[in-house]
Amino acid sequence: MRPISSILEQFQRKSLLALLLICFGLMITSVPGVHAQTLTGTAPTINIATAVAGSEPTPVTNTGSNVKYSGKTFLSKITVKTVCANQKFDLSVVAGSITAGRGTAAAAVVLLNGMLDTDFIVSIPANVGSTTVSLRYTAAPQFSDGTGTDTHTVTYTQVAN
Amino acid sequence: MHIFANLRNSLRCQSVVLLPISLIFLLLMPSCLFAQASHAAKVTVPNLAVVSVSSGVVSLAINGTGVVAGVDPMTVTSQATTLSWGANTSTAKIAVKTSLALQKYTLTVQAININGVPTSTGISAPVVTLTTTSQDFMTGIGLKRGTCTLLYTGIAPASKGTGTDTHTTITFTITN
Repeated sequence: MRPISSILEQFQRKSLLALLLICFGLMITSVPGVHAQTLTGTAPTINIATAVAGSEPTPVTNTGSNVKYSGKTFLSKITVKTVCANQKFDLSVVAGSITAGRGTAAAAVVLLNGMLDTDFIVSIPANVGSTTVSLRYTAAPQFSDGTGTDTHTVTYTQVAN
Repeated sequence: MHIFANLRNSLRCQSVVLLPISLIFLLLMPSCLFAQASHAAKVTVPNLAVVSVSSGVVSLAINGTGVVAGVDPMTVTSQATTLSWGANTSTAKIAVKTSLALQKYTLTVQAININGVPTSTGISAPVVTLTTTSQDFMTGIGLKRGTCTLLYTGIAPASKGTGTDTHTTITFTITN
């Protein structure tokens, strides 16, 4: 008959191994590129062409791109931020309609150069299937902004919620 | 006693290994980055310049009301219409002209009650006597939008007698 200490020792090794495996598994699923969230469609290009006298130029919305994501090991969320040197014009983005149970759209996010990561889609359940959500960009320049082109690099990041 | 000593050693050993792992895991978990993707988003705004006037026909009648004996010329005014604009270049201005070449009476127009956004500062609005040649009506309106009242003044010297001038079209043109 094996001594209890031997059993405990074996149990300890197994549990240690199991824990290490769990941690390794979690790390693997946490590495960018594994089950990657992707951006699809056409990168948004917005041209402001009309204005009504007395009001600001007419805002233009672009819905030609999407974010595709899936649930991770934990409850997760997607944040957004932008880099746009010498930004002149107002640009915001909000998630289009999301299938029930696949996350919740945050309020429209105003994209400002150098901003911190800001919640875009929250409460994405763990292990939810592949989900595609349209990105609704709206540009709303003002006459006082003048003319020109803003080029943003908009980054979406899926992180633990 | 031997069993308990072994158990204690085992647990001690386990805690020494597991505790730091657990702590690292707990610290890292909230900021766990699963995936990241970027794309470009472009917003282009070309030169925009718009102007409009409120609808309605401006009618000025010198009919004796308000006319002061001994004062010449007689005048009458109208503030019934408004003008709105928007321009996104710094050099924008509005010019005005009339379609009526041969005028018996003088008709002037001026922008008053100017409400510029973000500011009315720098806007100049002289009194313009209407002719068929475009003349500056408002300057300094660049990078602004706004509204104003159009103050039309009909001026009729007694020497011009009676009659009617019909300015079929008064054109306001905004240039960037």
